[in-house]
Order: sequence, then structure tokens, then C-alpha cells
Amino acid sequence: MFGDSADRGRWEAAVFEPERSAVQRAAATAGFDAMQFRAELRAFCRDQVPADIRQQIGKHQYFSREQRIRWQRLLQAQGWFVGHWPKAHGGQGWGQLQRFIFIEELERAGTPWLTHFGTSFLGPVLCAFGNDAQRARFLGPIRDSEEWWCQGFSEPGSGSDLASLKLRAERGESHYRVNGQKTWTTMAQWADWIFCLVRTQASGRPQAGISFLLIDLKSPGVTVRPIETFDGGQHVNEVFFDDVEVPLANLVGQEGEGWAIAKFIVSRERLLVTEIGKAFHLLGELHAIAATMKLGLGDTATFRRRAAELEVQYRSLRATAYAAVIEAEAGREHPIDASLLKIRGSELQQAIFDAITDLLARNGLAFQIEGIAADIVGYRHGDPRLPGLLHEHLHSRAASIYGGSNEIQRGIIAKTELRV
Amino acid sequence: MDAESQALFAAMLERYNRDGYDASQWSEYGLSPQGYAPAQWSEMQAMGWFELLRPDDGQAAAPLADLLPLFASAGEALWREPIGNVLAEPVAVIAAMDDGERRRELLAGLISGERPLAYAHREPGEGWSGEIAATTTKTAAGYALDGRKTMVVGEAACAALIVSAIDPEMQAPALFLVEARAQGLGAQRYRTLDDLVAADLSFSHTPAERLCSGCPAIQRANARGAILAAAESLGIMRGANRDSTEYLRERKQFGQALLGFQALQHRLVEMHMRQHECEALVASVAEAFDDQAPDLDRQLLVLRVQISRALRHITREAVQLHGGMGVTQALRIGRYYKRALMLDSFQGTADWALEALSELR
Repeated sequence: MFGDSADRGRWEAAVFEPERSAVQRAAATAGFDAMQFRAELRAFCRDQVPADIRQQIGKHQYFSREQRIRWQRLLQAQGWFVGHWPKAHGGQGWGQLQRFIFIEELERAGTPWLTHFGTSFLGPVLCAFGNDAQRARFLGPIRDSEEWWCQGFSEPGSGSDLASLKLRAERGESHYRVNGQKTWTTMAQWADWIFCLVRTQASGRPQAGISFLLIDLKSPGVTVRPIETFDGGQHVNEVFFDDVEVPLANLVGQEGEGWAIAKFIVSRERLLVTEIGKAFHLLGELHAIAATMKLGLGDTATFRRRAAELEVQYRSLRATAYAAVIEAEAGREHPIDASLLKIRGSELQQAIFDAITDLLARNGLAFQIEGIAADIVGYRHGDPRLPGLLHEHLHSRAASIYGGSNEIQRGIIAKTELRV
Repeated sequence: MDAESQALFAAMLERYNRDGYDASQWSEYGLSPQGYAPAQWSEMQAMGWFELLRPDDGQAAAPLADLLPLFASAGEALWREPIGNVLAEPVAVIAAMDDGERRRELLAGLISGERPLAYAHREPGEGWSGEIAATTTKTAAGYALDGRKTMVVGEAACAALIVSAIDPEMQAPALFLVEARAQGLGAQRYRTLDDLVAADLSFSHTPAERLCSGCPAIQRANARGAILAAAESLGIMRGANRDSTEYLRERKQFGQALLGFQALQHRLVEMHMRQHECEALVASVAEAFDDQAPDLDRQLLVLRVQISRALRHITREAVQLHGGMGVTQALRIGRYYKRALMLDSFQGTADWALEALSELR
């Protein structure tokens, strides 16, 4: 991390947030002690993050597949990785509030993002829609991070307008024959399996012809091709299906139930998209960077005002997020909350990166691409943490695009709030 | 240049960008150690553009206003070739020289393309203050230079460097010429965010030739660089606005072209409005430069604030309006975004310029 820990400490102390009593009450109703749970998570993140991962956190470098798996297993050793699964399926039956606090604390410590396709999406889908054989086959490897899942929703012509998707699955005697393409598939290059929305029926209402299929990426006819993104990292891929045979047993739920399952998935982690803990972590970085700047440039009135603006946004967003989570925990989820949090969460993250980048610009930005995942060998211009931060800045531009763009989210709010 | 010649020049540049500058080679250019394509650079040198520098009517160089279309084209098509080495800061330094013979020599080297010069002024440390710590001492043959310079663009393509350093007799900044292969000159190159190559330089008792005193030549050189960077920014704005409008016209979701949504139209309108404001401002500040306007320092800061804000806004919106495609390397939109960040780093952020403007008396 930039500067000494005292620089971060000052920010952390300044925004020290005692557990709100509303959160404590909601937690007590849900059967856990919010303050104690948070304290436990903080101690874990302080003491148990492996040294190599801690170093990468400080440099904002991209974590490897192996590091992510190792971290997930450490969390599961505490029963936390699938804490939100039902007890009957190996989880702890956490509600939304406990899961939210869990993710917030991991983000505050800067730890690797949990690839949620398996644990947050498919796991709960199988618990709710799957059959016993599917649960017996797939849940264990997700829980133990033995199989890596990715999500096949978007297609070249179907981004925001998902219901128009075309990936065709034709039913045969024992197999579906799958043909077509998915795109923007996050981390498919690391995945063993993909769950896909496929079209099993071409006529009728577009939503009604969509089904949910589990596909082994090692199947003949599957090709994963990386998409080069402007941050120089690899996150997303195109996945092509050419006469891929998928056993009928890999259909989850009924044919035509895919759209309902997709909506279930979207509703699962709706409030977590706020990434409020990540915003806290990045604001700490911003203050630490400012404190290390010579000539007091990080201490100008302009900078202080800008940092204050960000604090206003951060605190408002956190209050809004917790209000939404508490309501959701009580089963009174407001239809616009998720969209609002997605919009404001991505805007805040981008605003913080803009401020960080503007501070760093005074040193003359450089971007040495090898610094994304490993230390730069040979000459480097500027601080070794720069490449990682710039990489994250660029990546943050996608936060207002993926998972339903901010334009789509505003459309949802308009529909609900204005009844248009 | 009269209006008619200007229009011809602009049309010729547009043709060049369409037919002569192969954007599909961007990634290949990026792999070369110097960060650009030498063959493309030779082609540019043969285009006759550098003739724009040939003095007439006793002027040291042609008006800056004539060069704006060239830098706008460079911005729009994302040229990697170091045209600034020939047309930007060095020209202002040469114009400030007393020795007419040497001045004509250096200018001839620029125009012929044989001796491009890189401008090395900024020193390691923070900000755009322009503090100079590099020093010189007198030697039997001339001067020897010691110090460090950073973020030097086009160093890989220059015959010699123009370096700012303290003059030992005046105890004030002056400008010196250092041959690219001079003894005691060390260069560390690195790739920048926009896939170009910059260099950090170290000088250790490096032989140098004194060109002129630093003030006001440094101010003129920086102003020239800033205005041409603003022209480059204009080109990026034009390209980003054009591409975004076309993309929304073609891309269909929910059964209609995205351009049909009024909410998106208004976003594009804001981008276009900002571009138009900048077009006018760049032209007026370039005129002020040519006329040596007394308040040029204020105008330059106004320009910086407006250009930085508009360019960051437009490139940010262009990425967003392109959706996932905007963050890929396949389109030029993402490259525009990164170039915008780099230009802030070279020229100063809006925050900084606004602060500096508020402190001017």
C-alpha cells in the first residue's frame, strides 16, 4: 500500500463506523451478532491473508487462478465461502445481511474478488431448481473450489436485450446439440464449466424459449477465445459452440425455465454490486497516495475538496446500501434499490480512480504492462504500484457496463418509479 | 495560409488518414522498440508538411494556426510518429536563437527531416512547475551538462535533444543542444499507458551547445507544445464523437437503433457541444500565441482546463456508449481514452490548471 500504514489509518480512523443499531437489530433478528462477526472477519483479513497475496494487494496486481483458489479454500476452511448456501447443502444459511457484511469486509481488506459464478450463482440455482443428482455432482466441487465455473449469458447481438439470445440447443435422444456463441464471458479461460442460457424453442415469446444448461468446457466443439481489453489484462472471452453434445441430464429445471432462473440469479447478488467495501479500500489508497506526495501537492485545497466530495458520496452510498439490505433481509426488497446501488457504486468507484489518476498524473503516468501481474523487471518509471492502479482504473470503466449497463439500470428505475 | 489552402490541406490530411495510415497495424507499431513505424515516419517526412516551418516575410516560422489541422489529424488517427519533434517545442526554441546562421541550419534540419529534435525539459518530481535543477559548466569546447530529465517523448527518433539547464554565468535557465549519441547521456525507455515510448534521461558531464537563454524561450516552447496538444485533443474529440454517433446509429437493441433513444441523443449532444466549444477556443489561443498576446499565460490555463475536461468527458462517454466494445483493444475508442489520460499527465490536469489560474495576479 502507498505510504505508511498511518496514512491509511488516518482515513480509516476518520471514517470509523460504529455498527449502526439498525444493523445490529436486523442481525439479531437473523440470528447473528453483527459486531462480533465483523470483528472476526477483520482479524482474519489482518492475520490470515497469505504473504504473496498481501503483497499483490499492495501493488494492485492481478491475482492468479491459483491464488484465488487458495484464498477461497482458506475462507471455506472457516465455512465462509459458501456461508450463504442453505444448511442442508453444506452452507450456514446466511441471509442477505450477513453475506453483505462478509463481502464488505473482504473488499475493505483488498482481498481477491470471489469468482461468484459457482458459489453465488450456480450453487443457489442448483439448491432451488436442480435435482438431487445435479446437486450431488456439482455442489461439492464448487464449495471446495475444485471446479471453476463461468457464466454464458451475453451474446454478440444480445447484451442489454438478453431475451433476444440465439445460442441454439436442439434436443436429441440423449443429448442437446448446441450451436452458436457467447461473449464477454468472464474468466472463461480459467473455467472448467460454463452455465448457459440457451434457446430451446424459436417460436413464441422470446423469454419462454430459453433454458438453462450446464456445459463442460472440455467438450469437443467448444472454443474459448480471449478478447483483448484496453487495460492489457485478460478477463473476458468469446466462447464458440460447434455441434457440442450436452447430456440431457445437464438441463437445470424444465425446458423454458431459463429466464426464471436468470432472474433468480440476478436477484441473488443484486445488492452486492455496490462494492462499498472496495470503495472504502480505494479511498484509503487515495489518501495514502496524497500523503506521500512531495511539495504538499496532495494537500492542496483542491485535493482536499475533491476527497471530501468522495467521502460524501461514499457515506451516502453506504447508508443507502445498508438500508436496502436491511429491508431485503426483512423480505421487503424495494425494486429500484439494486439498480440505484449499481449506478452509484460504479460511479463512485470510477470517481475515486479518476482522483487517484489525477494525483499520479503529476508524476507522469506510465503503464508498464508487465506490472499488472508481476513485478517489473529492469527499468521502471515511477512507483511499482502504478501499473496495477492504472490497470484497475481502466477496468473500472467496465463497471458501469457489465451486468446491465447504467443506462439499462436507469431504464429500470424509470419503469418502476415513474410507471412509464 | 488562406481559407482555401486550409481547406485543401484539411482534405488532404483526411485522405491520408483514410488511405495512408493503417490503423490495423497499431499493435505491431506498439511492439517496436521505438514505439512507432519507421517506414510510416519516412512517408510522413516525404509528405512536404514540414515545409510549413519554412520562414517567410522575415518570420522565424509559419503561424501556429496553420499547424492545427495536422495535429488534429494526428489525434483522430492516433499517429504514433513523433511529429512533435519537428513541429512542436523545438521550433519555438530555434526561433528564439540570436545566431541567424545556426538558426537556419537547425531549421533546415527539421524541414528536411534529417535532424529531428526532442525537447527535454521536465525533471523528475511532481507536477508541471518547470523547476530546473540540471546544471552546466563551461568547457574548452563549449559546455558540459549534468542532471536528469523525464517523460521525454520522441527521444528514440531524434538526432539531438534540446535540454533546459542552468547557465553557469547567468545563473538562470538556458537551452542547450545535446547530440543523441553524446558521451555521458543515458536513456531509459519505457512504454506509456497509450502504448507509446517515452524516456528518462541522465546527463553526466555531457557535451552541450548553448542555443539561447531560457526565458522566454521555454515559455514559448511550452505554449507551443500545449496548443498543439490541444489540437491533437480536438482530433480525438472529433473521432470519438463520430464513432459514437455511428455506433449508436447501427447498433440495435429492443428492436430499434440505439440512436432513437432520446436519453442517448442528449448524451451525444453534450459531447458535440463540448467539441465545438473547444474548436473555437483552440483557434483563438493559437492566434493569441502568434500575436504574442500579453495575457497568453491566462489563456493557456483556460485552454488546459477546458480541453482536459472536455476530452476526459468525451472519451469517458464514448467508452460507455460503446458498451463492452468500448473497453476492447479492437476499437480506437479505448485508445482515445488512454491517450486522454496521458495528455493530462503531459500537460497538466484540470484541477492543477484551475488552481494555477486562480493564483495568477
